[in-house]
Amino acid sequence: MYEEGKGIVGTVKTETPIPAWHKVALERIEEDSEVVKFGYVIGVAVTVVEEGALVHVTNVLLDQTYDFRQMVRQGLVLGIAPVRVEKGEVLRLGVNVRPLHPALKGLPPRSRVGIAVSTIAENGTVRLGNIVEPPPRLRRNERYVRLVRDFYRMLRAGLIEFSRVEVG
Amino acid sequence: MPSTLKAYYREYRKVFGARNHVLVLPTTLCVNRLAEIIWEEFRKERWGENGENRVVLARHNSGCCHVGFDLEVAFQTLLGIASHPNVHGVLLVSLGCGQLCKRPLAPGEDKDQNLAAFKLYDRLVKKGVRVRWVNVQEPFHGSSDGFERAVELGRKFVREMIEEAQAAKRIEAPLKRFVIGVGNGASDPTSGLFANPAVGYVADELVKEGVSVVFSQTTEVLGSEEYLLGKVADETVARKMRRLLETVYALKDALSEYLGESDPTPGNIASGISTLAEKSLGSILKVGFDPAVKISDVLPYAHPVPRGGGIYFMDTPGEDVLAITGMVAGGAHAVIFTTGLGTPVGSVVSPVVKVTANKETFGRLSSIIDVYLPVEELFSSGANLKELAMKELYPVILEVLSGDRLTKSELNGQMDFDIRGYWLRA
Repeated sequence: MYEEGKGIVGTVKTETPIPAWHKVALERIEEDSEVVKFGYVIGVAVTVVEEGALVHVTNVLLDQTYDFRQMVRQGLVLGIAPVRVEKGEVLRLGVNVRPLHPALKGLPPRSRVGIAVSTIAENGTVRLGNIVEPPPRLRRNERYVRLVRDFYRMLRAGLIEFSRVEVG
Repeated sequence: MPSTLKAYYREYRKVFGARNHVLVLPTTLCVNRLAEIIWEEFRKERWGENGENRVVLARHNSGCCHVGFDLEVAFQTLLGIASHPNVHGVLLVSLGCGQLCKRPLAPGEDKDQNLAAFKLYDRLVKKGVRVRWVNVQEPFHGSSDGFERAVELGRKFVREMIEEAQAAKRIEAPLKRFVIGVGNGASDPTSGLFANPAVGYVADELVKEGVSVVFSQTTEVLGSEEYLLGKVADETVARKMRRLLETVYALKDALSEYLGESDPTPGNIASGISTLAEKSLGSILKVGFDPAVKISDVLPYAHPVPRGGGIYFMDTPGEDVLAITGMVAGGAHAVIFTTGLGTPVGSVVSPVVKVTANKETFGRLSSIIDVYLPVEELFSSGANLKELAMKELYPVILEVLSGDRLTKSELNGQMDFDIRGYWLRA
């Protein structure tokens, strides 16, 4: 075992032959506990991993509790739609959007939030990813908002065809 | 460690250059061959103490018929590369009818009436860049053939600029005036375990000296959000970072057919990488370990990287040439690039130092890889990775910036350059 700054710090007896560059458990990892490499969580153990066992796709997974995408999106949720919003419908504060994002709070009622590009279910989230033309205060990084908007426009115009698209 | 090195000072622009190249830059893909004809005459010319400077040609496949913000990206990239600190002067080669070309003036029309067509040229002049322009469709007086005239004029302009460049001398330059890019490509398990962390230690040291370090390759950071969002300087940067990642995820969703299978790829799994987070963390450790150093800003593609220290993240594709071009157009004087399997990639105006920790690869491809980190010493002589990186890699970066050492990419004449595009062209 090598540790940066300390050199060789010990040995670990492997249970099975370990292919070059693969990972070995340095201690027993309980089921559902975090697997840490580089000092960061790389996944969750789906079964008990004994000390010295090979750690790989068979026993470690990135599961729902580690949905990084969800983590990222938390910062981008604009509000909640208390009623079902159809695709193409204009989203207005107090009408079909309950604000959550700080940029929307303090705006007058009936302020325009954007246009839904897909149907938003009752109590569904209004996100930067499912509306177009968001309010100017949210457009600080316009380049990327435009990227998403252009993309959906081309999609709706039938200019791009994908086999698996989940829009609308 | 010395905190100064030798570099070319561009007085009117207040920047230091690690090289003194003359750049031939087509503003549209239609004139790539014309630019090449002009460049061919000077392909063997070298100047500078170690012959590190030359005439470089930035061929690309963009500059015309862009839709949406692709035009903006192309403009920014051309502007960035033409005003790069490593470039003494630039010859813009244009056709006349492209989106970024200078249109020929109609009789009686003056420049002020048609400013948009001079945007690229004007911005370069305003920045104080030495710039000349040839235009194929321009009606030249006393010549019947615009193309031949453009070749003749272009060669004359390049010759003039070479003579000026040859007269320039390197002077003492503080390290804090430089920008270094870090990237990785053609990775294998040694990249994540040794090469990237080693670059991370070097990046820590460079930032301490006041160098701005820029990293990129957005698609290769997905999965390391915990690390990234913990390393940003403030809430504004965090918001930019989240928005960027959200956009990539949105595109990734729609394109799952192409990108979905890549986290991690069957090749990654075969080589021992189990999850996307592990893959990304291995790649992102090249940013450094110092907890006091935070990501100062998230930059769009090819946008200027602020000088004076700190870490910056630039949104670029994971593809090597596009990632390097983005960082270089942002002003990176040199790029440190880790590789496991070996890649010849370079950049048109900046030296690219390629690093590997894979002994086999280095033995097989030493003509394209600059530095081998002898990681076996970690286990035999008790050295640690930080010492190894500071001994084997850090001095090389300073030598390369000072022009005392040419990178393999420069020796091989790599002139890689390309412009990021999102959409089909109209």
